[in-house]
Amino acid sequence: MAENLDPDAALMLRVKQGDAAAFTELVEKYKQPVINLIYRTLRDATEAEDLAQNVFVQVYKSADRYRVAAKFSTWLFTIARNLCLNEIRRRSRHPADSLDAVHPEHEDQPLQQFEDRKNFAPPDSLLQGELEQKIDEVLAELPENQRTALLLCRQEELSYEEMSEVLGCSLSATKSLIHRGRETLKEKLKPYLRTGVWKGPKS
Amino acid sequence: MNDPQKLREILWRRPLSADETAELRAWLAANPEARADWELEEHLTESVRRLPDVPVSSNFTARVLQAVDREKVREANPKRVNPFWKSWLPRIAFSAVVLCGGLFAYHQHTTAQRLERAQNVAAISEVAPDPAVLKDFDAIRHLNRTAVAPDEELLALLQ
Repeated sequence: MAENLDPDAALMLRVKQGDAAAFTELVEKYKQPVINLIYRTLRDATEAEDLAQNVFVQVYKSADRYRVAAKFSTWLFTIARNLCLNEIRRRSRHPADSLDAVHPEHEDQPLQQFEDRKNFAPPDSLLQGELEQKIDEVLAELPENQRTALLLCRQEELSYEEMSEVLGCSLSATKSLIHRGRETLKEKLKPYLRTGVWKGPKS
Repeated sequence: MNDPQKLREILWRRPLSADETAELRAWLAANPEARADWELEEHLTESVRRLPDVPVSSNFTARVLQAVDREKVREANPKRVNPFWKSWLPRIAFSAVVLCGGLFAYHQHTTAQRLERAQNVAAISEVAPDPAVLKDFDAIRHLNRTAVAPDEELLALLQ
């Protein structure tokens, strides 16, 4: 049993006994994937950091109740997803006006768009940036469960079974969510994917 | 040979290994109509994998640890005064003062009324006749009631 223990679960057991260094290690290891997930769900960098902070505080507060029944990362991403869902619900109850939104009094005026006539062939880095932006946009348009499923897919340490635990649905339903999400992405990103932009060096 | 669906599920997570790619090529040789879709799948996996990480503040971990410390302090020092009482005590005190003021004013008002009534009775008692004068009042009143009808016979004799 002890030799099969998930290293993160072992750290969590130390956190349970009040070991601050173990907690710091967990925060350092998971802050990036947690913030990535939250940012791509809420699309607000400041909010993502604040919510990620709450996720880790929640982990610390729940340390006493932690049981090594599932992998630590599964538990962590479940907390992160639940807090994201709470935030989405809160936003739907108290919607804030976007500064980028078109105001009714200016509705008849078209948004200014200037075509760059000189630059016929944009450099690869520009296309890469455009592709990344487009992926973020299409991800934001997906239903929450499809988007979360696709983002969890990037976490290589999570198996499909663990992803289905985070999403709270069956294994086949999880695969179906991923399939449908990817089909939408393929459809909307087809022009970019065919240019070969994605082959560029990883930034 | 892996089931193409298995290969697809692997591809959703990461680029295929050399062996898996060879397997896929062999399968695509027999199913060339699926080649375009598989290419899109590969390109998409690579594009999503290359999505940049969101920048994280350098003090993020420090902020989390600070928040946890605040949480520890809060748990160690639970509030002594019930927040409910803390917020309601001034309101209850104000209501009690208003109620006491009202009761005092009512008491003063009734006392003043009683005093005024007593003074009126005393004033009347000074001008009223002696009660002994009224001792046969009921008998006289009764006599009047029986003599209400005129004695017609007597009136006729007198005429």
